[in-house]
Amino acid sequence: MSDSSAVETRLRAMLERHAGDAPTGAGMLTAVRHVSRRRARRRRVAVAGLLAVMVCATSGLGVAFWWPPVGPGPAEPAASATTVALIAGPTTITVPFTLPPPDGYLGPLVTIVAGRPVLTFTSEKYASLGAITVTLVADLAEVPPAARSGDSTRRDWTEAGGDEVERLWWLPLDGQWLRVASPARYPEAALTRFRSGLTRVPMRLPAPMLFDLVPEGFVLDNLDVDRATFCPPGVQPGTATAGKLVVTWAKPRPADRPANGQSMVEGPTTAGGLTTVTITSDAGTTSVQVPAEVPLSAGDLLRFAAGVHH
Amino acid sequence: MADGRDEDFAEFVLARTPALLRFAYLVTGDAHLAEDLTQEALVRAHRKWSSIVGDNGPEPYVRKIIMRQYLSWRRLGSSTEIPVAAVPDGPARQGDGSDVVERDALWTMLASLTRMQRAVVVLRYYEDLADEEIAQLLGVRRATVRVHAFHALATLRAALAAAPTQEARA
Repeated sequence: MSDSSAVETRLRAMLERHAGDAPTGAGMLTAVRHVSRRRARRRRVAVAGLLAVMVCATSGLGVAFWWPPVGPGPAEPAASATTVALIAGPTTITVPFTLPPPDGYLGPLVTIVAGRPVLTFTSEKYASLGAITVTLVADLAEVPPAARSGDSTRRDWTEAGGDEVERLWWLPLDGQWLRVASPARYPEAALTRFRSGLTRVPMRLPAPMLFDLVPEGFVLDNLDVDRATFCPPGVQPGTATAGKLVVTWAKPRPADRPANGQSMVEGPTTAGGLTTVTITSDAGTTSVQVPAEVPLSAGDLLRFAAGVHH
Repeated sequence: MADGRDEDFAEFVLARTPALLRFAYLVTGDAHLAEDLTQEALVRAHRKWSSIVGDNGPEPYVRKIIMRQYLSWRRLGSSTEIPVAAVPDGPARQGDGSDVVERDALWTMLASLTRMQRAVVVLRYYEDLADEEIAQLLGVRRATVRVHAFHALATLRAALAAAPTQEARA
């Protein structure tokens, strides 16, 4: 065999071996649809905005987007070094581990609670039992000493939770801990197989709420399908909302749906030390609330709110 | 997108994503970048789905987008991700690690090639495409493909000669 063909043969074999290391693409369809919808919405907003400007410039007619010129809206702060800038927002959440779904379950769906990811696996087969959740523990004190000192991957104990009994497991992860909560009636052997699938390979998952733009330097510490909070610099992550930028989302009531598929903007308005803007479209109603002292301009607040979607 | 076309698209993504990711991973050598490039290519395919579903199907279009992104890619920052907790240092453990070290010699050498050379190598020796097909995919002439392949093999041959003991065990 010549040198060239020997190298070619080894190349083929090596590429075949390493192809097996490629990511599996779990969640790709969901992620693609999310991003695609976001871009479509961005295009629609851009076109609507352009049309609004053109209509205003040429005829002075009213348009679907409206911006309160005076009154309760905050004055646009002068640009300064302290003004918060907007940067491109995230589309995925990276968790520092991989856990394939338990037998009979789908997912995971990922949320963020007090700065920590929570994975939720749901099941039609075991719908009567409930979901299995995996939480990256924030505080070592939350991990029982028995779990910390012994074989921590074994079942630790059960605890009552209404009519159901929940089973808790504690899994070590390089100095951190995962808390696995499962229905007690879920087969123990299946749960054992589930926890044995834990690896330290980071896993990217679609975010339940998407942001085209986010304030630079703000930390996203809570995220779910209908609510998110961002901590301005100096504010500690946690479940509280005080001092934070808060985003809420809800499906619009039929009566609230804007005509002609356009979006309606209310605000920004300031009251009680909070500045609020609300955007209603066919897709949903997004409200953004931020402490008035946060140096986010009214224009940027509107741009941020317009970029929130699912 | 109409429901029927959306179902077609979903079927395509579910069926072909693993193969597209293997292709992207071998071309880039980076799992996250492979996911980024594949996702972006699929998003673009989603938008143009009606026009790319022709006689050859949408896959050539998606692969072409992956390749063009890869060849023009400078640096995709992490701004598209939400890091939620400290990522552990070092790679994931797989066995005792010795097997990985041995079999990675040629894989590591692949990283020393230019992007175009690496793309040609993967398309030729993993996808088994003819030079004409590779040329179409990369938007270059067939002679250019052959030149890249020649230089890639020469580089790898020289690297293997310099490190015979490592790769010999692979």
